Amino acid sequence: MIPETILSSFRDALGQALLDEKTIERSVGTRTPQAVYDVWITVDRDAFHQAVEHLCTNFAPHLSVISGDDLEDTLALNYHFSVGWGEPYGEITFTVRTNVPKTDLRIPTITDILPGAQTSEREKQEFYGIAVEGIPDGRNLFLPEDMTIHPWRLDLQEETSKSVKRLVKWETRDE
Amino acid sequence: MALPRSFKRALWVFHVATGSCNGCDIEIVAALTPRYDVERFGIMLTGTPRHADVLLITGPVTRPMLPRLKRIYDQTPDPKAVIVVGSCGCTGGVFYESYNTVGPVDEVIPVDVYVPGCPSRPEAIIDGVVKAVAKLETLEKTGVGG
Repeated sequence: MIPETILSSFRDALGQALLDEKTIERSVGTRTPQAVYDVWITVDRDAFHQAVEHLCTNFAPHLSVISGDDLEDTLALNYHFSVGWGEPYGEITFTVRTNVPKTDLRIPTITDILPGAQTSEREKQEFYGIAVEGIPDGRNLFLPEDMTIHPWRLDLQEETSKSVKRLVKWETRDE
Repeated sequence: MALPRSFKRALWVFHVATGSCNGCDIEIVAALTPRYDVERFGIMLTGTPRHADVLLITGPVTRPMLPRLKRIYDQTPDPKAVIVVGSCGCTGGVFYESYNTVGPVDEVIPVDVYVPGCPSRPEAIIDGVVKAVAKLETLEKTGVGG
């Protein structure tokens, strides 16, 4: 699949809510190099659910994982999809990124579109302290139920270090 | 019935995880177990790179794994083929821009076959290994690399 196909369809569907787009091209292979693509888009939080819905109706994606970046004032959530399965060199890693302000940590669930997203959403909920609105089962996945801290948040590192014991010192291990 | 030339000998594979999330590793296990059963083709995982014909690499290259990956590549006897399994190893994928990774595998060692997917399906991995067989045969015929 060509990235422009997806991107132009998203431009039509989202309009102003598509805040940013980036296509990374890499050439693979030694004798006859082929281009493979990674596509990243940033969408507004209000249009996020619509964007995932648009992707699922038109491009049959596979949700790989949801990841997050703590950017001090905002939390960026990256939903990594892969689309175009089955074509040689046609599979694209397509990432939908949305920025959530730290003052208002909410994101709509996508389990109504992709039920399998629940595991990853539960993980983001406990590790970042973000509220996933409408998630059918919002219990903690990895952390104990009574744990109130959110270990991946950079602004809560002091609290985390009090409750979490560091077993291995990675900083000096490979020097 | 004579076996096709591509399967004239057993192909031994060494699996290196250079920082994958284990998704692709599980798919490799799926390819080995009875449903796909690659051992019927003579494709077998070995415990050491010194016995391997093919390196199967999963994941982006993390900084601690960089010297180890180079050493494993050097230890594999020629002729050898390198297969990268998964989007992370092919392009960086989910770990693109990560401060903890050196980059995709082909920035460290030469790669012959790329199997994309997050994770790759077992059929795709088997197809990748078969492509590597063809590559090994060419290497043997031309005498390049040993």
